[in-house]
Amino acid sequence: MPIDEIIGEIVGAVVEGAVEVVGTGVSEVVAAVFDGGGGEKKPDTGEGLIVVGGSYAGAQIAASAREAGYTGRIRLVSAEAHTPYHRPPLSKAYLLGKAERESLPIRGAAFYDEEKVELLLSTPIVGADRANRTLTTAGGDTLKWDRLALATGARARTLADMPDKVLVLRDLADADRLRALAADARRVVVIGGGYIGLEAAASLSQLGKRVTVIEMQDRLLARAATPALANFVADAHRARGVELLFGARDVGFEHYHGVLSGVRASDSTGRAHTLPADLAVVGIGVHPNTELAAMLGLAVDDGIRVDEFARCIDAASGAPVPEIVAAGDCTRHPSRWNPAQGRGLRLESVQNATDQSKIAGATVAGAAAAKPYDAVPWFWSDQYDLKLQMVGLSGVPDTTVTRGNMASNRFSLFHFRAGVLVGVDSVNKPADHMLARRLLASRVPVTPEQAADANFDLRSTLPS
Amino acid sequence: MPTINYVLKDGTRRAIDVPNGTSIMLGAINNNLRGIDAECGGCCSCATCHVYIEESDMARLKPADSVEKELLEGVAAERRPTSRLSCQIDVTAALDGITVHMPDRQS
Repeated sequence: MPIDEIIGEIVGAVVEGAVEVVGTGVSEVVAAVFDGGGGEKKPDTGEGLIVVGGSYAGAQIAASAREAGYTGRIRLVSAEAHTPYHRPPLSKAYLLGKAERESLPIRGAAFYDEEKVELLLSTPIVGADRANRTLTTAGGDTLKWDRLALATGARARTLADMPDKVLVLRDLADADRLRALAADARRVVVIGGGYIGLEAAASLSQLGKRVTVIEMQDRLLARAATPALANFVADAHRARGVELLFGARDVGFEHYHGVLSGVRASDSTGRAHTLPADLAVVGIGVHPNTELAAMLGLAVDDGIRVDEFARCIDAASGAPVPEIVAAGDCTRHPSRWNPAQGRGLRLESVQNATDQSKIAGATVAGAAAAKPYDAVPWFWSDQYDLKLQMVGLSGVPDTTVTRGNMASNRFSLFHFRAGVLVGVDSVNKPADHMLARRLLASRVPVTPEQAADANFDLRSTLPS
Repeated sequence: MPTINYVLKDGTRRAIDVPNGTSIMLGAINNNLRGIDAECGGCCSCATCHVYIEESDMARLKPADSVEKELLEGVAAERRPTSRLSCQIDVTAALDGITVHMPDRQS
């Protein structure tokens, strides 16, 4: 796989969130004009902003638009029945029964009330029209907007012919099903050795299930972590009794009257295996939800294309569309953190959804308030007693040094390309992670020798 | 229900009844108090729920564990001896009436 694809497809921990926020400036009697550069200017008719998508990005766009002074009407439209909630716990604390629904909301009811963000829940959007500035709901209603925010997120990829007791893990409904099915399951097969699959494997193993992870590549986390970190994580799973099967081909399901009984796969030698299973979790990546953007005549390239101010791009002219922004998992954005540049970067992470949405919200409120999106990408994953924190896009580094002691499960891997620090993976070393975020953001020179020397104070390299 | 006093960035004081078993962070989030971001939702990964505990209340809290102490090294605002991550402070009757201050920024 070329490096730009590896980097461009980096998958973070369980991050989602696509919601449309549409709002309107009802309170503004005087028609405002959109002041984004390059696009046409259209008067504000009082319909305000609609945000489509009810997860991190949707909630943050609404919040940031208000913080940046947007006084128009804001509607947050979500296909789900819940207000935006935290997804990372779904594969971890929530699955383990250590967190309940009450702890999941991203914002409390007081936020929507006080900030005048109208919630339209259980409202899938099935149509969109830019000329008339409308959305069509699954129920057939028409919603009008002056400004539109696409936070439509991504959906989990599935396999063909999935019988009962095979599921993906993306939203709260998935997690509730998984929790219920796990109670009676004994043998679980996880298909896909990415973060979601591994977090589910760790949690199910901790619940006493016999777990096998099957992965198509020859290592874990092939899209999302360096080989050094992936090998450490593989050892951690094996040490806790989780079986790993690499190079799997021709994955399929055995069932009895439609209910899963086993998972078939060939190994790298072509030998076929059937793993008995009474529960299977499929974690093989996501598709960005770009359908509405395409209907709106916006540029789409495995993600909704946006500029550094989170403005969508007109598919025909290539110019930014000032009245439509997008943020989060659904987008592909220009990023200096992507060493391959070119096609831009699509990230699936809480960090990206949150930070890009702050820009999008400011753009909605008036482009003058918006700063270009340039945040350092970071991710986390909790598996067993291991707190994994990754910063930067390491891709395939040419030099990696270890700071700390791998045997003690407390260390960081500092990755370099051509002598430049490009990323840091930390295990149970949150101080290293927080420092690494500052090192990368400030772009101070750090050498592999300094990083490997535990007695060298890396903070001394930072500007005071 | 224990009452937690939050002092916002502009100096406004808000006394909030926060249910036992939740956290100082959730008390702020559920009541739309600006100044705590809590981007990771309380799993001690992001250091964006930083607060300063009123000095005279410090003794009433259980001390920070090693993970929280490490994350505190990376808070965006000034780190002080009274700095804590509010997601790691479980609300109990013992904390009734304590005062926490929002820092000037979280990121």
